[in-house]
Amino acid sequence: MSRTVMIVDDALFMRNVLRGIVVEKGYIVVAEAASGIETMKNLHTHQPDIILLDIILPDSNGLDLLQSITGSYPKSKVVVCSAIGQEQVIQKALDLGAKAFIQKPFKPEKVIEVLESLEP
Amino acid sequence: MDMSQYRDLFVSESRTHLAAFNGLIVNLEERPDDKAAIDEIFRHAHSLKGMAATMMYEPIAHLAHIMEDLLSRVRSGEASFVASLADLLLESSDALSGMVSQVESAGEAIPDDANLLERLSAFDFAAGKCLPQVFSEESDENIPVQQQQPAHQFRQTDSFKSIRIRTETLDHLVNITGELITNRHRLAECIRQSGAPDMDEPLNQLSGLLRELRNVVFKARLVPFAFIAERFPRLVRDLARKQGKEITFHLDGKNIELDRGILEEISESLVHILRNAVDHGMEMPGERVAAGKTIGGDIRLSVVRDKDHVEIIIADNGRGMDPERLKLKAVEKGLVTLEQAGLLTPQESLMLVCTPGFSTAETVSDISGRGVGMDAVRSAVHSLGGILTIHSEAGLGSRIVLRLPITVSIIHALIVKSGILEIAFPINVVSRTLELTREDIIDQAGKKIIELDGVYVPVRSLNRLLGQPVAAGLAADLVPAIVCEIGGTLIAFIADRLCGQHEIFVRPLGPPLSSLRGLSGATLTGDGRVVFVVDAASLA
Repeated sequence: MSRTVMIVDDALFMRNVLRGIVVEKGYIVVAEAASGIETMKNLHTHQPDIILLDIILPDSNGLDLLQSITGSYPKSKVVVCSAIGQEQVIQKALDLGAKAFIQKPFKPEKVIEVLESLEP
Repeated sequence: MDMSQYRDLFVSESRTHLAAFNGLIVNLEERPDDKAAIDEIFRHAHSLKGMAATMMYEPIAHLAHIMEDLLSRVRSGEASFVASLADLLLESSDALSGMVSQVESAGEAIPDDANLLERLSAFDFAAGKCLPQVFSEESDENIPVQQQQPAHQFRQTDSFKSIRIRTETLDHLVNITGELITNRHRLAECIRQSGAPDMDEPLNQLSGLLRELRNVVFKARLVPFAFIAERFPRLVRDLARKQGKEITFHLDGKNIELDRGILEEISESLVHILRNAVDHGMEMPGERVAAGKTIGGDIRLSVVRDKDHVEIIIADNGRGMDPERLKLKAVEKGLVTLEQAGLLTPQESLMLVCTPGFSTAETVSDISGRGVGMDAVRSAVHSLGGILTIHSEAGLGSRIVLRLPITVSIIHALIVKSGILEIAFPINVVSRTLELTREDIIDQAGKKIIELDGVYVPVRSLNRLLGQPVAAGLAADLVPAIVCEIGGTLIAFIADRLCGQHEIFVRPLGPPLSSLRGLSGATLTGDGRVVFVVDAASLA
């Protein structure tokens, strides 16, 4: 069965690019969100297998959002996807329950490689 | 993966980011302690960098990255937001805009001059003029989760729900809809003449469908005022800084929607009015203080929806205009005679600034002394079927109001008969219609006036204005009059007959008719006759 994905990024451009990459590999994008509030709403409705999460959003601190997600929906696997490459942010995200980190800009293969590496 | 499929989206999103970025920088200059604004500015630079890097537009990503670096130092509280940083960031934003345009036209971003990159990299916070620093010690984690959604974001969240359409296609749709409405009138006329039975029902249905089509087509053309307004804060800021004036710009109602064509037509006029407000309306700080006012002045642009109209109001609390001085100037320039000037109301005197050849500026500044004048602004407003009014009080400021229809081309009009001509008055300029007896018309020193609710209103004969024979009727005969409100004053036009209100499709007049004074367009009636649409303001 295809795994479901939610894409969280405030840029429509980024969401479209990511959707293009994952759909090609047979993932199903069940929801997209551009803000923290939208994320929590969609999460409740769709409970996706995987969440691609941008750390910088207009209405919330990405790490706080990550904590709410992993706290309320432990079954959804969060892949943090952001251009911030500082070690401490990556470590903090992993500590908060993120399964992996993709740094922007990314190559499509990198995104797929990370997604494939997640345990079902 | 072919990234070129995302190019258009990249261009449009980048522009949204840059426009918001510029607006926020200008805001931040006024409130340098606004931490949420810094976060947001940072986020725009950051998003742009990420997008550009994904598209492999290295020059854009690189420039955005350096900007982001500078901003992150402000964000962390390490440095404060200084005025010279604002200048540099705005300059960088302009450079990014240029590169985005290159991407749009050529498909690649060409590196910007190295000089800018160098200045950014070498920017010294301590050397700039410092604005008050009021950053708190709070860390990022303390940002409230539910901040207000920024008002500038119009981006859709679901890309499947909207598509892009060329504006030509939308214009074409309006034209076809207009022709259909004209055709319906013709069809109705044919049916009426042939006396064909049972045609009422299908005709009514057709009318209903056409109305619906018209509404949908117009709705598709509506865009928020923000579409043209995003450059205004920057414009006011730059002009004010150049002249050493302190001005806060406020923008209200930028989400109100207007027809794209109207916005396009009116955009330059608004720039002109704003420039006037900064150049001539606003005093220098010293002058303001001497007059007992605050050092900084305000310019407020508000957009207000009123049924089928939108009012765009540009108000300032600068020095205002003195009607007496305007009159004097107009006489000096030979635009009106001393006698004529004496008869003008204060309201009419203010409108003198819209007379071609009138400029009250003591010295012509390099900015607003050129290009369009207020006369051009007024004609632009009139040609859209709108009205321009000016209010001002010496010492307190000015308020310029543009009352515009929300849509163009298809308008409601009152058709009247004058001699052999049929004339259409756009319904938005008609404040009421009356039936007068000849006794109601008072002759005052050769000027004809009527009294209307205690106000004296000048009367003009349409037949005289349009070169039609003037019938000599009996004193008790009723004559119809159309009272129009023009620039805040009323004026009554006497016609031969009122023919009723119709929805008409206005077509522009081609040369040589377009040079005729008092006409703004024409339409065809059901039986193919031409009805001219009048511009009441220039007719009076």
